[in-house]
Amino acid sequence: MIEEIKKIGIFIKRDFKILFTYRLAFSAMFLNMLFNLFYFILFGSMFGEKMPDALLPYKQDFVTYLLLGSIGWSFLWSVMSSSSIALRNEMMMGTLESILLSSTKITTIIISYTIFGCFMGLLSTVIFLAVGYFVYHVHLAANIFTFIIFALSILMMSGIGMLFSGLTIWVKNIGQTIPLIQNITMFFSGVYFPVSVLPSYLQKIATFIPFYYSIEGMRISIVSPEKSMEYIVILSFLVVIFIIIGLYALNKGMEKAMKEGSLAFY
Amino acid sequence: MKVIQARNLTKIYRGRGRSLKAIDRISFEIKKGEIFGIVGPTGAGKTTTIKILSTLIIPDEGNAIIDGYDILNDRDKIRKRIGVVAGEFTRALYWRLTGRGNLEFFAKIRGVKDYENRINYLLDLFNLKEYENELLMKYSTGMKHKIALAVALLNDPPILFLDEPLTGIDPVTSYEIKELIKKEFRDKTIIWTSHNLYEIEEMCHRVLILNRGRKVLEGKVDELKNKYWNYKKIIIECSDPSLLADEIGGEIVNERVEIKAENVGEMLNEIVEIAREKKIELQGISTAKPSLEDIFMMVIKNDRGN
Repeated sequence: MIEEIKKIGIFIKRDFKILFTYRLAFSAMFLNMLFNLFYFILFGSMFGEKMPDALLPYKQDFVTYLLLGSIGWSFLWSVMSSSSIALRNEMMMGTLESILLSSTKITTIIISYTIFGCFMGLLSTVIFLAVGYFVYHVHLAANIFTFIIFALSILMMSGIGMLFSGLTIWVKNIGQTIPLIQNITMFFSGVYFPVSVLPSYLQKIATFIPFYYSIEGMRISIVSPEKSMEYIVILSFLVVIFIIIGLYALNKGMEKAMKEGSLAFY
Repeated sequence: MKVIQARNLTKIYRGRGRSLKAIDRISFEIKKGEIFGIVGPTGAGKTTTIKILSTLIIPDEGNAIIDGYDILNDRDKIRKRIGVVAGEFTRALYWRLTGRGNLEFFAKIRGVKDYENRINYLLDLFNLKEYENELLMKYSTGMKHKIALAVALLNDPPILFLDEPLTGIDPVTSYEIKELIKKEFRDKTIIWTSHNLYEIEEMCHRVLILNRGRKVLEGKVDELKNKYWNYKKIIIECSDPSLLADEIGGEIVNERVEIKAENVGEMLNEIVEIAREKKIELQGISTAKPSLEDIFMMVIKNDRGN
């Protein structure tokens, strides 16, 4: 167990080493992050401290609303997608077999990628928070409930990440569907606008999107901490469900790839 | 002492209504310290066999015991005891890490104690110390092969699986690696696959010939030669190879006439007689023992005929 935990640090160090050799890609990633920020700044300039009716339940102006949505979205999506993307890369490069030959457990590999995704997500979070704080003077009054919901969301997204990783090994071309899922999820999760502005039949769909409970839960925990429990319970349930499904998919994917001999192909 | 025992290994690849039997009830045993060659044409099942023994592919039938552990149930224990260089193995490295960076990463995740010393030893052994801090993408193919071998040797495993370890590298590097293996890896049990039969003949104590996933022959190279090839080859350089080949029933190989003979003396007399009669000038005559390639070609042709 301790050996496997140590390996997580080794994987993360390797990923940073490799990342810094891709100077152009690293710069492009950083510029992309800054460019996304322009949307935030643009919307902020348009709406300023106005509070549209739809935002009354959140007691937040649009900039604050947008800031929390953007942070939650970019961080949690980074956590979720990092493992399947990294696993796909290892399969394409042919390095997955070499790693497995080192007796490293597949779950250790996935956890390492997920933590690396957290670091990447953290980078964009810090940038967003800095702009929010210094440019728009936004102060997010996060409390213990916000952090609990955030932590549960990370675990849930890790579970979904494992599910996607399992599917990546299992059906290979899963990567192509991620942008589609990303757009659908973003639309129904209240990232840039409250779900309440959608027609009622579309609002029902949001209740089936796990990500909705993360974003909405974090918002509610800030304005009405007493209502946080509902989201904590739902998210705890989703954590258990997705970790179980994720582990199952991962193990099944591995078993299938080992039967097919396709660990080194994508 | 038997270190590897494979029993009825069978692997069928299935997909889209089709199935391909990659290996079919392959069995063999390998003793400690033995270099065991597996040869066969493309698609014979060499890599599948290596990957099954490396616990990277699950067989459909059969099992294998490696150093006392079962490939189906003791994967982690087996992985700690083997070093593998398989498939397109330069792909199995991180081209965006340095040579040392690759070795450090794999040493750490394998839990190699005193890894700095081990890495220094391997870099010295493979003459790569000078390039240790270069990114692997700048290495030549031969150097990448050496790093792949060094990675396989990081934890000093008693068993090595080398799947076409010299394919695609220059003769000098190939020679260096062969000499290293002969000198430094005497105590290791090695499975060595290759298309190059001269390499197998030079390096391996015993050989297994596969064709279309089936075992066609197994044994010590010399024993196989004696058993399946009880004649010598006579090689003749002359002024008219095609006429001589027609007259004696030989075949032309590299503008020389080759003929198999059980009784070399009798055959030589006959050749000299025919040459005199047909006014063919004999420029040189030599005899050769059959090579592994001769046996390989014979058994593969026979197997295809079946």
